[in-house]
Amino acid sequence: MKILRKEGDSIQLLCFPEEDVEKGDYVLIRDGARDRALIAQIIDVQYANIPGILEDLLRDGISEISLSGEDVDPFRVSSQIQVLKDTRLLIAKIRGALERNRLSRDVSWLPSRIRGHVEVTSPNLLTSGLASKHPFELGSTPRSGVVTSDLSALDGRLNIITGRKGTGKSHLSKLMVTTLVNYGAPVVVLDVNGEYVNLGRSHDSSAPPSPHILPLIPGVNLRFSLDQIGLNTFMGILVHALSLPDNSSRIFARIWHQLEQQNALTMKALGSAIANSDCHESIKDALQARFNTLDDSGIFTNDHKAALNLDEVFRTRNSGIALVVNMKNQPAVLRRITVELFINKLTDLLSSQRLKALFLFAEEAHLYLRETYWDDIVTRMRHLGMFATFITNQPDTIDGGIYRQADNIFLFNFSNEHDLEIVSKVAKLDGDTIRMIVRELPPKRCLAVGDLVGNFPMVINVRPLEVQTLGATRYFFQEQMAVV
Amino acid sequence: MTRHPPIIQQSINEFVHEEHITLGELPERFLRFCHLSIENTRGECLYTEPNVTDQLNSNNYDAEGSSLEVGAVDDTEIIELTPTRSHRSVAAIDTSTIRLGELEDGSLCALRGAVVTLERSHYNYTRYGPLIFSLGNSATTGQFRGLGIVPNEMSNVEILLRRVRNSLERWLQLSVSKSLAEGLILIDGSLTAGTPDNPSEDLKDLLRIARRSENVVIAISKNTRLRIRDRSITDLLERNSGPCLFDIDDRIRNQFGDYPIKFLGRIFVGKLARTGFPFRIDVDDNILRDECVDGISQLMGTDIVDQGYPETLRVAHILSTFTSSDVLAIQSLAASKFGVQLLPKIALRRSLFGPFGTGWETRY
Repeated sequence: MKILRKEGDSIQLLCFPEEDVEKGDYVLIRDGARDRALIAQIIDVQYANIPGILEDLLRDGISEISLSGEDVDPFRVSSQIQVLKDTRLLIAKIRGALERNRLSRDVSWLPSRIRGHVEVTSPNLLTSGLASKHPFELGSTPRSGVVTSDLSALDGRLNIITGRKGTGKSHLSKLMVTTLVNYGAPVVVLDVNGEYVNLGRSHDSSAPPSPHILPLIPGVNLRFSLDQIGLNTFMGILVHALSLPDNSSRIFARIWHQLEQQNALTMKALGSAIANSDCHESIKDALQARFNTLDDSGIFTNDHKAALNLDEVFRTRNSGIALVVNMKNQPAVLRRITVELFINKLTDLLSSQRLKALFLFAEEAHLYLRETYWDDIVTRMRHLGMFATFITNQPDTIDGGIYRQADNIFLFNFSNEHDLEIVSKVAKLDGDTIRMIVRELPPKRCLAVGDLVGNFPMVINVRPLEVQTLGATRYFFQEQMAVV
Repeated sequence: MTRHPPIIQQSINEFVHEEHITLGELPERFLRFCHLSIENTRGECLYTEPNVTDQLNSNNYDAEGSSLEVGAVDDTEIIELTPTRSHRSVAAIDTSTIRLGELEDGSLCALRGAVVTLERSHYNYTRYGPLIFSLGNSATTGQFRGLGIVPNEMSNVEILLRRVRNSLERWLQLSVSKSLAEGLILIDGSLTAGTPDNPSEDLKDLLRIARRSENVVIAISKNTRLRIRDRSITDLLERNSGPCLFDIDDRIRNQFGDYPIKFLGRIFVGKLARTGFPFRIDVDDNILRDECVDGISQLMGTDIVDQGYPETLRVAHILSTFTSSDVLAIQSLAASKFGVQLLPKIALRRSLFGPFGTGWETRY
């Protein structure tokens, strides 16, 4: 490879046919005799614009279509011409430098074009600087068998996993969930498709299910008693999840306080109190309708034993647990109620220091998370110790501000210009790289950006999981799809 | 015009005849010349130019540059042409050369030739080269005799390059003449000979051998230097819309009577297609005029003559020319295989005139 030109943080390299390079690869551009090198990532591979190539191709085209013949080429120049025709132009972005074998961000110098030497390098060189206390085998790249990072790069961070349907987003998030649990971390998964529930089972179900994965179904084993959740949380559900007007919420607060003073706070008593209230009929109807919705959800119970005690769950399973809130087939309103309740309870545990920190994985969060929660999660709750990972196939459902604040982003394939435009707002990476690489990623391969990869964007084949994953896109013509 | 020693003509003649001619194989002596001349350049610097694709691919044998007095064209002299279906094969030969750069003592050059044949509606080609060799190097002077070329003191690289190309071209023409029977052989240029670059004996032999196999040699010149006052002779047919020929042979011979150059072809100005361009067309003058016209009519009925130019000759030209990527490839081959060191030639105009220069050097 040879350096052709540099402009800004872009560098163009000429690559000859025998040199094997693909998008996402890293190259070291060594500066002759000096012990330093630029680290650049290939973001596009094009044909080199060789003078006269149009004439050559046209001539070849004429020959192929209407002519047959032979070349008497004693000097074998034609092989040299073939080399030229297949010479590629690599567009690369400078990501850093290597000075005396140490990673550096000082890229203010220019390597010699004549004495410079360009070579493909293994991404392990770039992640070698990461702490290896909690190694996390993320996957592999064509240049390296395994890409190992450190799980602490997810700690205290905001993460986004996005890509088209069926490209492997959930697979990566499951890998992250199981790895975090293996390291003893508490994890909560908001699972809209019920695809995380079998994470505790091996492929062939031969081993007993892992006790570290606890599937929760709202109304079945995910239930709360009223005194567990308190007025604020209950009111939050009424106002935010069920759109209760202000007037009605004041009446409801009065009823709640009365029952609390009488030490009679049960769902049945709450229902009777609303029915016998002397408030205006319209307010009574509004309260009654919402109460019925909550009561029908089955998520509230008067039985303290049947209620989920999150405090105890996290305390007793401190060697790592993933609570998988299975919201499959749940009506939208119940999802919102469940999430509102759950996040309130978790915030409560975190702010009272009963829970040190937890990792929240939210699939398609726009389906159940109210707008005001987005900022809350990425700012306030982050300080409390709730570290969110959003997983979505609709990148425009996540606010642009969240993309800019994300510490780790995992981009799977997108081909739609609109989607690419949205994800290119990521602060940690230039739009060119995203547009050039993400558009052509095959399934199960992602562009990882952020702390987890030492802030050197990396194209990674995500490691296969050894547990039942479910959630793979289901096809009617399964066999044909396999062939395709 | 100066007369040149007959020894030169004789040498080329010997070269093309002594060599065992087999189409599809290059003469061994040619290859030897290339290899020996290249060996002498090992380790030398090759100064390259960006505009290296200025090529010598037109075979301007019609060295006559004088203005003629043809007089008015009488419509009765115009021969209307009708395409005639024929089973005759058509073969076209073209060559081109290029200077790849300057050596410390001479130039590195390349040569390529192409033969395109049309038989039973199918086009077939054989392309020779690129052949790479050095010229102007005193150490290689002795190698020219192997090609039938006797360089004299006046021979510069340009002249030598033209002679090397002519050697290959004549060899290809002879190869075709010997292997083809009852065909139409198309040559780029004219059938004018008698210059040191183009000895008349060679051309006579070529035509004789072609005739022996009942071939008709037709030379088509894109750029004739025969002029009527300041206008090209091809302008004579500008008022005629259909395919036609105008025989100007007698008028030209009358005016070049004492010239050392020989017109070995009957000279026409011809338009081979209704919307085509007119060209100077020379046909072997040892065949009857009517046979010349028949041969051209058969060419029109057999080959595609889009724009008035035969497709076989057009393809031969395309296949033999050098593109910029060919030049790059040959230069890099020369560097890797022959050990020459590539250096860009100093842009003199750019150094002297900066942006006010007029040559290519100011643009790069």
